[in-house]
Amino acid sequence: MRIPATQWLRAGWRLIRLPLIPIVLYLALRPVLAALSERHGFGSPDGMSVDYLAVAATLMALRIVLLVIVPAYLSYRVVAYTVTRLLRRGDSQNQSEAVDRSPDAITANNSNQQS
Amino acid sequence: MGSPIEILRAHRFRRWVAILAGLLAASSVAALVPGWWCGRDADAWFDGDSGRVRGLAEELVAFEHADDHLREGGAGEEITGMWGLLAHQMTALGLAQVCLTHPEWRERFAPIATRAAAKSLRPEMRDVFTAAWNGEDGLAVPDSPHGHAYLSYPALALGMARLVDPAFPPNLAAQDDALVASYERRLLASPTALLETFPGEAYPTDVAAVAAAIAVHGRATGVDHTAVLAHWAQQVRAVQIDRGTGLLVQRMGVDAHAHDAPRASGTGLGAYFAGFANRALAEELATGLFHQERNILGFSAIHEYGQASDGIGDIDSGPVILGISVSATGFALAPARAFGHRGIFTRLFRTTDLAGLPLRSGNRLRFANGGVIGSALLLAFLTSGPELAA
Repeated sequence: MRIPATQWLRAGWRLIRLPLIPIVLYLALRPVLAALSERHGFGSPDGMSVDYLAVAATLMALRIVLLVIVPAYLSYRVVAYTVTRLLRRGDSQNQSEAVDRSPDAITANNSNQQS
Repeated sequence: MGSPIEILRAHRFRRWVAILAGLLAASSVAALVPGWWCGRDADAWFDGDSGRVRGLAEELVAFEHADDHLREGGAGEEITGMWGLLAHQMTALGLAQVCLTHPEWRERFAPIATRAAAKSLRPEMRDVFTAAWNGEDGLAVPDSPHGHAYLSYPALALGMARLVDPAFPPNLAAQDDALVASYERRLLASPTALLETFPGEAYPTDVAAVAAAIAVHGRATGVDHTAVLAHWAQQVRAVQIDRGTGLLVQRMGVDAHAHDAPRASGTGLGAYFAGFANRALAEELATGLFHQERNILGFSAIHEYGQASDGIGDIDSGPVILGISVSATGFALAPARAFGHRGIFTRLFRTTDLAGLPLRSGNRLRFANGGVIGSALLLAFLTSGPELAA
């Protein structure tokens, strides 16, 4: 049975909606840090500031989330989903073959051939 | 069709297989992706990619311009003290190294290298040292028996700027000559080739900078300093390197009595400075330093202490977390690149990239988490190589 396109879209959305949050935050904060670090930082003209430290620490944490947790989460979901589907498909095929080899099915097949 | 129990069993089996496969994939990805992502630029830096080098050099040019404006403002907001000395010195060294590799950029960067070197010589950059010597300014007393080895940092910066800047000012050249003559005399007079930075305290790393300043002066002027450099190298091997670890002792008396443990931060910076004066000795120091490398999932960092000692962080090592020194990890980039250790360089660079957060802004590239000092140090270390002695 084919899965309708909307179901695929929903499944895709469910997969990426959580990782999307740190990605959007990271992309939004990166230019902010680029602007702040122009004059702030260790030894920089305007020195350290609370804004700079807060943005730098947040971006650092987001970076680790995006490099470690998000790829691991996505790969877990994709691989677990794919393996489940493959095993299900294999089971269905086995079950179909088992039904084909059952005594009732053989009798029905023979009577069809005689008629 | 199977019985309900068989269907349930098959469902459970599928579920566990899927979970195990998912966990295997997740752990493999978590182990591989960060190293791959953070190491994407490592080869480009190792090979001296001109776009990246130029971007970081322009960042330090912008810093020097901003510093000039602050000085003109007269509000005293510019960076001074030990950190100011280091920022301007490393900017001068980095820009001079860039000029040696890219002579076509000399016109742009050499005058800035000279300005940065001149700033590193300003009295407010060394006031902590002058105060430690009870007001004796090392620059004003060239015949003093005291070592004043900290002045080797601006002296090396002056020498490198002089090497690349055809318009190097004669007054600065005279100061460079006087400093180097004074150091040569002091070093030859010291049986251990140790000069004090603070009263009673000599740092082999600072003395390596003294040797570097003398060597670069020789290259810039043609003066022969072979004898003093040979004496220094001989004494480094004889009394300053710990035989067990291959690391430089961090602090010593001029009598070669150890005041601190052999440490990686001093050895890392010492290896960079030693490279200006004696390539073989710098490689020996780098070998000891690289034994301190700790590697997790392709990310390397340098352990501060050898096996026989332990301690906490200080201004030299930066924060020491689980024995790992932030400074030593950065310093190690220089000998890794200069001596062609691509693998070590790549692993160290991944850590630098992860923690330093490189950002492009217009034509400039900076390590956002390191501030100006981090970017200045990294310019010098990531372009290390052309300064090496023959």
